[in-house]
Amino acid sequence: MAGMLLAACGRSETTASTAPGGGGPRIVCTVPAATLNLVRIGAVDSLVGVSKFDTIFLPEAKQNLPVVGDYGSLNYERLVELKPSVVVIQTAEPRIPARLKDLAAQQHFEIINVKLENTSDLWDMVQTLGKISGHASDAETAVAGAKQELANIAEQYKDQKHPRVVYVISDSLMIVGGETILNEMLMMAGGTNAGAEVGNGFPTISMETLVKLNPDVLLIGKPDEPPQRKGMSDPRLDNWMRLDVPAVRNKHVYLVTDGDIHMASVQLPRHVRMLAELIHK
Amino acid sequence: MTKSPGHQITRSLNLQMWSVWVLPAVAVFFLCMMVASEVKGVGFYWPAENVRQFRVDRVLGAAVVGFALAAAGVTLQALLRNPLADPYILGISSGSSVGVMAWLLLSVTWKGDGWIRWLLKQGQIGPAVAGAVITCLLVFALARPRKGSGGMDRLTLLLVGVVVSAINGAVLMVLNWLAPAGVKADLISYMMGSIEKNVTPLTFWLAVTVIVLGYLPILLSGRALNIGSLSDVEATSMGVNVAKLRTLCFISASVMTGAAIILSGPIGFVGLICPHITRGLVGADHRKLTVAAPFCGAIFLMLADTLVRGTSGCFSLGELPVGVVTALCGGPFFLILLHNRRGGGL
Repeated sequence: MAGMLLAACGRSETTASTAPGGGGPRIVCTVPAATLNLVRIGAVDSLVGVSKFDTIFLPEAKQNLPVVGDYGSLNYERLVELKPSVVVIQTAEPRIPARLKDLAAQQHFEIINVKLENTSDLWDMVQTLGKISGHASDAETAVAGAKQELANIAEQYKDQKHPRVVYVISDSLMIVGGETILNEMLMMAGGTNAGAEVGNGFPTISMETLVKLNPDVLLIGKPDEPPQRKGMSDPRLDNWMRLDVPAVRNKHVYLVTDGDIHMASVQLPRHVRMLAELIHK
Repeated sequence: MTKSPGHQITRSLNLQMWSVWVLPAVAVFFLCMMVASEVKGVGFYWPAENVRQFRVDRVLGAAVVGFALAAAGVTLQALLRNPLADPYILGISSGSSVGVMAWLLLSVTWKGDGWIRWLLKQGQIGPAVAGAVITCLLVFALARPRKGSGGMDRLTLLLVGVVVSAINGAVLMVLNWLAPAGVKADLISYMMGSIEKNVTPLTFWLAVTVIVLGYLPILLSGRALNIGSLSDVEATSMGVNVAKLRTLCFISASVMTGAAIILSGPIGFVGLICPHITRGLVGADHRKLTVAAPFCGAIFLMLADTLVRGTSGCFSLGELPVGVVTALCGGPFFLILLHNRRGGGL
């Protein structure tokens, strides 16, 4: 049983899993970020089931993959029908459903429980996904390339000022705090995440606290919305323009509309570069 | 044309109540204005110019929402002759939330621009009020007794309210399920109820206008509500058109609830607690209650919201939604009321 329950921390013994009846790996992935990474490393053919949030990452030919649930609940009947060799989940270790563990023992599939709290976890996850899908070298290449690109960005911005950035991710004033991948991304982009002064995770603040954080750059997350137009006169920025902070006075308020930015993947350098360009505009 | 003595007494009582309740409400407003929202820790000082407007928005927003919910609560309790009635318990708040969330979902999925985008951004008040009015009429219609079977049963009404509220809750879950991953946080946060909703000034003043328009008929119906609290036969024999009074006040209460929901999301129990507190202070005369209860609601919600705002710097996760605080106060209060009315046992 213990061997079937692996945290995605680069376990060296993890190898390409094959279905009980032979053939290639059959992966059921319930973690959108993991699905996106499987697609990015070219392992999409290994996928036999996904979560309801994953179809947007899938190519046209794979749009009809069966949906087995989400991070909160699984359709066990469908899971069994899919005869997976690996099931990828993301949950706290004690919260892994006993039923899933029992099923894994009966049906002989592995459970890969991924952890995504920082970029180190992300690289470990990609490498683990590479191994279980038979794309280890593709994963290694993607990770090495991403790390190199991040080093290039760091080099490019190392001598520049590190402006104070607040990244608001929802209209209810939820911001990016410390100890998150987005916090790391802001720092890699050459900014100082002022939101980390409030707390870790994604704290909710008031407009008054936002003023007191005194950001030089204000990023407003609007995933999947149309890109910012007309500079600062985009009507979606109207409410933010009331803030008396350097970001508004110097017109450094930007909408972040990239739908994938909140999804940790090997595309991270592209997102970090985009953030860096906004932060240092 | 001369006014009747009844109208003169009502006007005199209203003026007395206004003078008694406006002063503490203003005092609490300034007290709340002194409480700062710090990045770390707590602060008590008059706000600097760059944050003053946000603190005014916040405290004023809490006052307006509290005022509207308590006014709706006292009206519903009078009309339904039921001290347990409240827009939250009767499902009116959740009906309004369904309208708002459906609208929100439509606005995030609409990719176009132009006047439709503007309408989707500014026009939330329409579905909020419509959701509240439809739910109110539905609850009232379902709980209405058959002809000849006596008056409306209090517990039946509550049960219908609870069931309709549960149905609305299910619809809200479906809407949340349909929502793209990027907006789920917004929807969940909305449902927890908080004053800091980052609404546009236009939406805020539109909601205030709707609340004032909804409140005026209630303010002018104090005497009729006193008579309407009697049985339908008694009220009719005393010259009150019960059907007209009910329709007018139900719509007013729903409209006010819908407008408040826009500013805060569903905040529970304000409409239950505050009428009871004021009834203890000024008695059961609705000419007094329709003034006192809304101000009590304003004071209560200003204090509750200032508590969560002022202590936000003490928690690494930021602010606790004010709806949680009012539910923690209101839930036990409701159970005590229910316990007392049932003669000691639930």
